[in-house]
Amino acid sequence: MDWLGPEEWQAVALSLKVSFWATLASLPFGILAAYALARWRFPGRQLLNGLVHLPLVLPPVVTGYLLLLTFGTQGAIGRALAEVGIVFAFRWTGAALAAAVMAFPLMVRAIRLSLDAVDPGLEEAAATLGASRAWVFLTVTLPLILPGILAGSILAFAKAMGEFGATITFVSNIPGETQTLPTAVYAFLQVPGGEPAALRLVIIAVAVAMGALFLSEWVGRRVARRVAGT
Amino acid sequence: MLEIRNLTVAIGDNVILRDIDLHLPEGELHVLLGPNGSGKSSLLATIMGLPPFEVVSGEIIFAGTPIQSLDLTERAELGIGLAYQRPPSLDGVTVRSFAAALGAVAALETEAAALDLTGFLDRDMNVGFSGGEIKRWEVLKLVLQDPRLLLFDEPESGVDLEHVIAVGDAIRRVVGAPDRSGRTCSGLVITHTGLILSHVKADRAHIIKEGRLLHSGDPHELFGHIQTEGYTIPAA
Repeated sequence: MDWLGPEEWQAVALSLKVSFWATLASLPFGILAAYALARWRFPGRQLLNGLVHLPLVLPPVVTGYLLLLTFGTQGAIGRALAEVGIVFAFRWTGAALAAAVMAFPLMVRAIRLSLDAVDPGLEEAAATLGASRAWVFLTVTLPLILPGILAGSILAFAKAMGEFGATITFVSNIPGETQTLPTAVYAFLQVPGGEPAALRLVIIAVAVAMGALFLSEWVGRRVARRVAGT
Repeated sequence: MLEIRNLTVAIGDNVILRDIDLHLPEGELHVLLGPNGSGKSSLLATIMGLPPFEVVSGEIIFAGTPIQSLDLTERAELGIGLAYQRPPSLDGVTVRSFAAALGAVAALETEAAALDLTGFLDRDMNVGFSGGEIKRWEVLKLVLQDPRLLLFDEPESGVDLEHVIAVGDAIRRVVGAPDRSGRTCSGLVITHTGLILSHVKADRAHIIKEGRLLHSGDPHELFGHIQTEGYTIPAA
């Protein structure tokens, strides 16, 4: 990594850390939301669907501002969490939260698609043999949707790597703490002579995004083959 | 053992079964007769608790417990088991490993031999099985599962004549006999062809038509009547 300056390397490493934790921490919620949307009929289902997909259509800066309002030091949730020592504002954890929220719709959509492809007859058959709901989920549903979970996680990771608007609004652009790869590109472009560094980061960003898309496509094809039963 | 009282069942707004009354005493084997689409499979699915059938009114009482509000798992735990009409294939799950999951490895070899399925033990469940082989395995599955109330959805359809005898024998050996905990088993069988009647000892038959239980009586007499008069109420 000699060809990257320390500040660039710091941004790449931070982006990887932020994206990793954003993906990992949102995964249980992603599976739960996808399962609820695919399987449960309850009042407010459409509202949940709308909320999950909101970050996909809202301007990222709006999402970032909403995060600041709720999870900022003066925000209702932010203040309560700060009392137990969890702080998001202007910390890398805040960057991870912003990335997780922005990537959440992509993750939920991928998992939901694979849930829709699961034959409910298999789950029912397991239940007729006496398996509890939790056991059916763990031993029948979860293994069948694993490719969707993988594809969703890869997409979410790639989206998190590229998150800019919500991150810079919520946690600003602090080198070493919240300056991720995209915000670093932006920062380099603001200073004279910063283009070569920006370009190096752009190449990394493109490589990571393409790699993730290919990987996600490959996993998606495997799901399709499995559904087709070949 | 099983008491169905005034049962009405619907899928959404569509009423499938209307005012069904059926009493299956412990240890008995009853058969359900009726034309295609009359509601026989829906009745078995409702007893088992399969979606999308919803009980609109009436009661299903199994061994003294009202079960209509229990879910599939709870009914299975109470001892109700279903041999599917069209069971799913399970790629990657062998018959042997499935039997192991049911805790029935000890009984597997003998029961499989009785149903001429010895060569199938290491094959994936229902994958590449013929229609008749799927049916025989489904009967074997239910026997291994060891429920107290055995529901068979057309166990002989697609099964060649020779193996219908084996299927009938399997049902006869289980129904009326004690399960592994010593409780006497009962059975409810849907039959289209009536072939199974020659190989099991059925105590009573019920005709279901257009979602209603039309008539109940002696299985052989009723089947003879249907062969000449169709699914009608025999004259007294």
